[in-house]
Amino acid sequence: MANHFRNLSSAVLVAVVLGGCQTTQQAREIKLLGFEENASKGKGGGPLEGSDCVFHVFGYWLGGHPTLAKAVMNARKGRNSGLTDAVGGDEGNGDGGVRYLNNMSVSHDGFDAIIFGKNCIKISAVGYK
Amino acid sequence: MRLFLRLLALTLFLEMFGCAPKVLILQAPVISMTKNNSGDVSGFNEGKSVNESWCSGDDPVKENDDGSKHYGMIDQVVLKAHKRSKADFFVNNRFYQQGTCVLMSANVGVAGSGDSGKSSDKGKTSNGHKKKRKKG
Repeated sequence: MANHFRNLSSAVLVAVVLGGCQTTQQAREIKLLGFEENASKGKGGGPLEGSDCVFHVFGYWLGGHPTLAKAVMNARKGRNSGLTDAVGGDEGNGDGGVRYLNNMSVSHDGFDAIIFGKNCIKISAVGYK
Repeated sequence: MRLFLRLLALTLFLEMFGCAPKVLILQAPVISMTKNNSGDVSGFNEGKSVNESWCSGDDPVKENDDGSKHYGMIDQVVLKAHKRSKADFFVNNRFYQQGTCVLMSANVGVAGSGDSGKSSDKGKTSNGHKKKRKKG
């Protein structure tokens, strides 16, 4: 039984090494994300960035975890999040920004220095009004 | 040790079979993985409802252009919806995460106003190339 388990584990390990590890995140690159029903061809085409970051101190996260929705809303407004977002100081709904985003890519960023850390979801896209 | 393993197995079992919480992660009025915009179409009517899911262990619907094996779950679930419904746009999109899966709840976007479906992308593939029409 133990031998069988060992063989099976070895086979899985070899398969992972040879096949490469498949990893996932919530989103990677979305071609069109519309904030309004009107996604007709727009003007502008400027690059936009936005992020949602949360800090942790001694393992305690200030304001939960970063969310994709907040990062997208910040990208729509064309700004990066600050500490105020992390502690719930900004509940803006993102109105007044671009109508839609093209090629929205999502990445994760941050650092962890054990006693202090930062975890971010970053969005970069091309925005159209 | 044995108790710990039993608890771990129970947790994994519960997560795999629907006891993980369903969390709304993103809402979007319009989404597409095949078109950059709707051309002259300025609004959509709601078509048939679409409910799809994609889990992190599933085969990717489309491989990444750069050949990497790092996939976006929303990307893959929308691609799956495109493949199944043959639609270019989805409206009223809600994406939920449940365990290692992303669930999509949306409607097919049917061109409702503007140029009645004549978009600048019409007759073109997602790469912007003109589609070849089949004869007959």
